[in-house]
Amino acid sequence: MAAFTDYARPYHGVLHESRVMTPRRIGRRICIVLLGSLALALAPELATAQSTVPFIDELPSHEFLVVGYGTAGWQLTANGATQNTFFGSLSPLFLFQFGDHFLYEAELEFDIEEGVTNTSLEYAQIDFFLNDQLTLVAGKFLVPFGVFGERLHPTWINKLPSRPPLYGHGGESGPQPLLPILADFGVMLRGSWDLGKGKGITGSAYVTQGPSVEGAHGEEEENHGGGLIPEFQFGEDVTDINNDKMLGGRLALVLAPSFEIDLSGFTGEFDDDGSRLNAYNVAAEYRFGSTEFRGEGFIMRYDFGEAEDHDDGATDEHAERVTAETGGFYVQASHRIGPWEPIIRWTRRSDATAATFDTDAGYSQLTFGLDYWFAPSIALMAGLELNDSRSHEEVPNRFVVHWAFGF
Amino acid sequence: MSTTAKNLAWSASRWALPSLIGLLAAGCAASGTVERSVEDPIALSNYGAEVYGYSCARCHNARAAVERSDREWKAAALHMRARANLTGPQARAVIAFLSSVNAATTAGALARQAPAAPEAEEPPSAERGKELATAAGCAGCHVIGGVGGALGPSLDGVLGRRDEDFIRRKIADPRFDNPNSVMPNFRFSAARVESILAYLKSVGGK
Repeated sequence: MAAFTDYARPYHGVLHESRVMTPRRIGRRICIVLLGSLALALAPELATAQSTVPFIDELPSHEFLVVGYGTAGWQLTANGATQNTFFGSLSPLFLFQFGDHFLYEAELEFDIEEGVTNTSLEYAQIDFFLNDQLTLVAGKFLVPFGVFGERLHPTWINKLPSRPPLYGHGGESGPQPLLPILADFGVMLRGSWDLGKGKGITGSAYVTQGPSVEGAHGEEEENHGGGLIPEFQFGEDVTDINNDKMLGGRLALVLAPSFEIDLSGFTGEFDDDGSRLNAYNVAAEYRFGSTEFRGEGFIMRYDFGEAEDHDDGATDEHAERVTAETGGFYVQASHRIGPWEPIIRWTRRSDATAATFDTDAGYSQLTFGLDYWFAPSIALMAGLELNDSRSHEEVPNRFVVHWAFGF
Repeated sequence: MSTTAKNLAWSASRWALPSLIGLLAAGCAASGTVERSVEDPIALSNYGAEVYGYSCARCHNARAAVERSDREWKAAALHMRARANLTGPQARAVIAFLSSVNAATTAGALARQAPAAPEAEEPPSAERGKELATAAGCAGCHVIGGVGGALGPSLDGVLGRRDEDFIRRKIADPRFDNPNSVMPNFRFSAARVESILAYLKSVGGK
């Protein structure tokens, strides 16, 4: 049996051993095919780049704009004795447009936790619009893995006052998320093609620093329910712990103006012993009048590396390794009636003890929400979370109300 | 066949299918790209309203045009190119739409503030209503006469679904029944509202 890293030792669940190069190769193959596809599409676009229409010449070409969102809220948690707290946050987004081809954008996040004001750089990226279809992005950017993290997590866009418990930040109350809102340092090529009648194809391919494990390398680590899975972090440090870059991409098909399907994935090593994280995501969204359905699910596969040391530092790729899987999904429905919008969301996730979504080894949450929209970007949102935890620590039910303000 | 050749053949076969799919996808995407004309400003604005309607709604409520100036919308549109994968033509069309709405709103406000608005004495007519609706770009968001955008409800046969007083109030104060409405307030005079109403009556339809 392979030797585990420290954070893996408490695990006593079911593992299976296999040759782990398959998902790694699949992940790399997907990324390379995506990169190749974008490159193929880029070639004719670059050839005709000079003939593209200018970006509305009569408008001034420089602009500085501050947008963003803020939140003020209150939550009641029923964990034996009830606990109620107020909270608030501010996330300004700075946009600096330079001419028709450059945009610098950066988002900060301020909140207060345990008496300390936390400041974080959510993302800071340079967008270079190569032509009408392609954009080159560099810096720290939101990773296009799924849809929620990149497009839906701002509080005035997320219709509920809480995130699906698959995503989030470690410091938040509620269950431990499987992944943070992914933002990482790297470069990305994005493309989009309008196929007419509201249909289109969009794609992204990126290379980033990759995941690392919070608390690894000597620090005591708390894991998901004392299990195998470490807590990952992305973009928290400009130092790459293993010089191995994460590769990933997304392909989105807009099959109709109100119907989109997204497929995405990434692969990257998270330690210096060859341990690798492969993740695959599928998301879909459909709107019918004032009714909206959306859902997203992902699987993460962990390949824990061998502890065998080679003199030349190389990893023995033919060695047997230990693998595990975890994942989850959420589905959400909402319907708008004037300024009111009721929402329901169901989230399921499995722990590393179950490769399938077995009811005895997972966690589920049913969330009922009701929004009142004062304006298109200002809403009072209420949500009741009913949690059912079967395999790790008790997760209390929660009632959250917050006022979200997009500006 | 040597072992090396077999390995090469095996590797090639494993790459062939995904590479072919990628090649086809890229080729289809590039060849299927729709070129939009920017010659006709009304057509561009209407296309922008269409994109604004379905693309913004994919993630969030559509914001009112008056929330930002034309310059600010341009920066915001670039942001949405990078975030929401708008193409260049789509972004330009959205800017054209929002600019046209802002221009029409400003023009309406200025006319409203004029001390002796000549339009106050205009006799209401369907012809004048059509001119006003065209200038305001109503068809960018609404279907009128079988043609138009989908951001707002169809105005064909609207008088069969709503009474005249509702239409008057909606034009005069678009948010009176829905605080989230992104329909601009063009501040039309009462006479112009009557002209638009006459035009909508003349259009009929279902």
